[in-house]
Formats: sequence, C-alpha cells, structure tokens
Amino acid sequence: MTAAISTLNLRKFYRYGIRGIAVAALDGISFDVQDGEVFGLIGPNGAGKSTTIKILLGLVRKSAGECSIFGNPVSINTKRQIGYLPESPYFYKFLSGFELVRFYARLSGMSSKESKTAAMKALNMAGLDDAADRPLSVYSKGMVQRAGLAQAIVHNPKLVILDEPASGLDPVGTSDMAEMIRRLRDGGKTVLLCSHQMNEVEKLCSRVAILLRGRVAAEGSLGELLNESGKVRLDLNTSDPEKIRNISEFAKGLGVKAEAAHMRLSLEDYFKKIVGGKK
Amino acid sequence: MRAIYLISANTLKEAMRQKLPILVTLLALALIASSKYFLRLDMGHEQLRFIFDFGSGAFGFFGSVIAITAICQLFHSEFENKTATTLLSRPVRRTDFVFGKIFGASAALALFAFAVTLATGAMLAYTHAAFNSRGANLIPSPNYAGLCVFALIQWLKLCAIAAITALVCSASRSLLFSVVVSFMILAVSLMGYAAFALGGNPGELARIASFAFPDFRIFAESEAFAFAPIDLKAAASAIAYALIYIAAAGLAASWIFSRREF
Repeated sequence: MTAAISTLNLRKFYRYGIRGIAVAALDGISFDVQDGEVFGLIGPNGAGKSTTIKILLGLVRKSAGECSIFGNPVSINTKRQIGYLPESPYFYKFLSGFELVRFYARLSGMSSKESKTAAMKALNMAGLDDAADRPLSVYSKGMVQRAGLAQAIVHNPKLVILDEPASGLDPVGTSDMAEMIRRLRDGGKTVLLCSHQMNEVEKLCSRVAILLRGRVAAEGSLGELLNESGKVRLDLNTSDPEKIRNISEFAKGLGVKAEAAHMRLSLEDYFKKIVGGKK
Repeated sequence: MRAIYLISANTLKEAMRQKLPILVTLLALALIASSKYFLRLDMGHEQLRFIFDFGSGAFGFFGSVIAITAICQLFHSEFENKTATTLLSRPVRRTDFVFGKIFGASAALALFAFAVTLATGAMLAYTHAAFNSRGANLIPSPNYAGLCVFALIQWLKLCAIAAITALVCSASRSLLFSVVVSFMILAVSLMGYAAFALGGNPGELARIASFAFPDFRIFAESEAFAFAPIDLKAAASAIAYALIYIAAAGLAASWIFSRREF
C-alpha cells in the first residue's frame, strides 16, 4: 500500500550571513505515514516540525532527500489532496466564516455551486454553522481555529495536516478539536498532527515520530514506545483502606510488589468536567 | 485562471477596506472639485485646459501614491499575517498569486480612475456650460471620448506602476523598503521623462539605465486627446507599451516570488 506521506533522508539547510553559513533545519529525516492513520509529529521548538510540513506543502524547497504524497513528488497536484491548518492561523478578517471557507474551497478547484454546499458542511462539522455569516474580525480565538479546520477539510482532502490545532484553545476547545480529529480519522482521512501537547497526541495518534535537532529521535506506535516491560497497572473501584491492605497482602503472598495510591483527576479533566458541564 | 480571478477579487475586497486609498481618492476628488476656485481669471478655452490639467495632475500624482502604497500593503500583509502560507498551501501557483495581486490592485485603481475621470468630466462640462450660458464667445466642447481614452491610458500607466511595485515586493521582506524603492523607481522614471522633455542629452550609461525604467513620455501624449481628435496610433502604442510592461514586470515578479520560501 502506498504511504500517504513518505520522507527519506530529507534535509534542509538554511544559509545565513554574507558567507552563506549553512545551518541544518532537517538533517536526514525519514518516516512514513500510512493511509488512514493519525500520525503525530512531535518535538521541542526548532526540532524541524514546521520545516517538514512546509516542505510537504511546497512552501519550502528541500536541500536533499526524497518526500512524496501518496507516492507522488510534491507538486500542485499533490496539494489538491491536502488540507492544511497552520499554527495560530490568521485569515482575512473582512470575510465572514462562510466566505472564507468558500474562498478556499474554490481555490481548491470546486465549482461555485459545489463550494457553497461544501462550505456549509465543513462549517457545520467545525460547529460554526451558527456563526457562518459573522465576519472573522468578531470571532474568538477558538472560533478562528475552528474556521481554520473548516477551510482545511472543505475540499474533502485525503490528507489533513494540522500544525498545533489546539494552540491557544481552552481545555474544552482542545477537547472539541480532538473530537473533530477523531471524526476525520473515522471518516478515513489521514491526519498528520503536529503538536506540543503530549496529552492530545497520546489520545489521538496511533504512531508518532519525535524530532530532535532535525533528526528523528524515535518513531513507532504508542504501544511500542510507551509500554514499560514487566509492569501492569491495576485499577480498583474502592478507596476502603482495609480492602486495599488485604489486596496488598494477597499480592505480597504471591511475590508481587503492589503499591497503592489514590487515583485523582488531572486538573485538565477536572476543569473540563466543571466548565464543559456548564457550557 | 480561476485562482487569479479569486485572488484578485479577494485583493479588491481588501483594498476597498484600506483607509489610505480611500482617503487619497477623496483628496483627489476634492482637489478637482475645487479647481474652479483656483483660477479667478476668465481665460475662456484655456480655463478648460487648466481644469483638465488639474484633473490630470491629480490622476497621476494621487494614482501613483495609491498604486504603490496599496499594492505594497496588499502584498506585505499576506506575508506578515501569514495568510500567504495558507493560500499557497492550496493548488495555487506563485504566478497566480502575483498576477492576482496585480489585477486586484488594478481593479481598485480602475475605481479610482473612474471616480477621478467622472469628476474631471463633470467639472469640464460645468465650466463649459457656464461659459456658453453667458452667450458671448462660444467655446468648443471638450472631447469627452478623448477624455475616456486618456483615462484608460493613464489607468494602464498606474497598473504598470503597480506591476513594478509588485516586482519590488516579490523580492523584499520589508514594507518600508518596498514603498521607498518603488517611489524611487517612480521618481527616476519621472526625472528621466523630464530630462528628455527638456531636451537633455543623457550620457550612454543613463540611456542604457533608462531602458530598465518605464518611459512615461508615451503616456503623456494622451493628454492632448481631451481637446483634440484621438490619435489612434499614439493610443494603441501607449496601451501596448503598458500591457507589455505589466506582463514583463508580472512575470519577473513571479519568477522571483517562486524562489521565495515561507
């Protein structure tokens, strides 16, 4: 099966100063994203995530190596199969949400009639159908992000590239964005997710690549990367100290070391529980 | 072609929301409307010429200001706001982007040209009617068709300035740099024009350099059309020159822009 994205020994050098000193942004990156999976591209700032995405989109030229989208080298035609949500998107503020999404639909080759229906459908999926006629200048940060997702998916692309989709969103907005990404996955789309939020990546991605200083430091499925051999977590639905002590004793009798600690919600989960319930 | 149309339509929408071009247009219209009050002497037919020169001057000066500042803003706002990144991630060629910007700015300039020409024509008609109503010496009517051809040629001149500005913007990373360099190119072109008009004898180097800058003399010939029969050959030459210049500057800008990374 052809990979949705394939990079092989991808390199990018930027030249600075009068003497043209080369600095490597990408130093031989290789990874494949399979069709239909949600793939996470993670790493610290300056690791080369955005440069990789920009090469895939034809915004930056590679210095060496290979990269392809569904088996074809990056070109105008491969861009038809890609939807892209940039980090902290800024769109034309004088357009309404509907006009913006329709504009990008038409740029992607849709007819005037098709673009109307597709724009409404995309806005509906992004939960912006009520605000479709409002200008973007009055949109909140979360609404702009949703409009960004709507423009990325309006032309029904096979591959969706999301660069920090939850950047600047509150936990509820982040959760909604995650739900939308899940729906894209369930709809058979390939998603390349670039994010600093490990929690989000862990919940959504089947495989990840960790970039560090322009190289792939680790790559694989979450199971391969995160499972600690020889350890299993056992969740108990009780907080009774007597019962916990008995279970610990029982485990000790079997030669198994058991440690008990109260389970608690993360602050993010608690916030979502409180705020999400009130929304 | 669809991408060029969509980008130019969007650029026109954005240009219509910029304050500076609207302010400059209003200033030009106010100047033309007040032209009658600048001249208290009754100069007969020459008064019409004075009003036309006022309109023509406003057209050239304010039009050039709009052509340079508007396209610089329209280009650089795409880079600074990173909207160009989203736009170019679509199946859009760099050439589509550059020509979309030039045509969008040209459409905004067409609205300016229409407003200024209408105001100049109205002032000419009003002054002409006022003279003739006195009944003494009837003066000939201006050539309104000639005025329209003049406006078309001057508009194309502004489009050529916009295309040259786009060429500067495609290579520049700073709005200020683009505006300053574009005005410098305009100044050099105008000075070259003035030097030739004054019968100057430029040196060989200046003559070679003058080929790199647009020759505005060819557009000035159309000023005669408002009071004389239209010289079709001169009009066709000016139109062809402008179109070739726009195409050449646009293609050069596209080539430079295609090498740009985001």
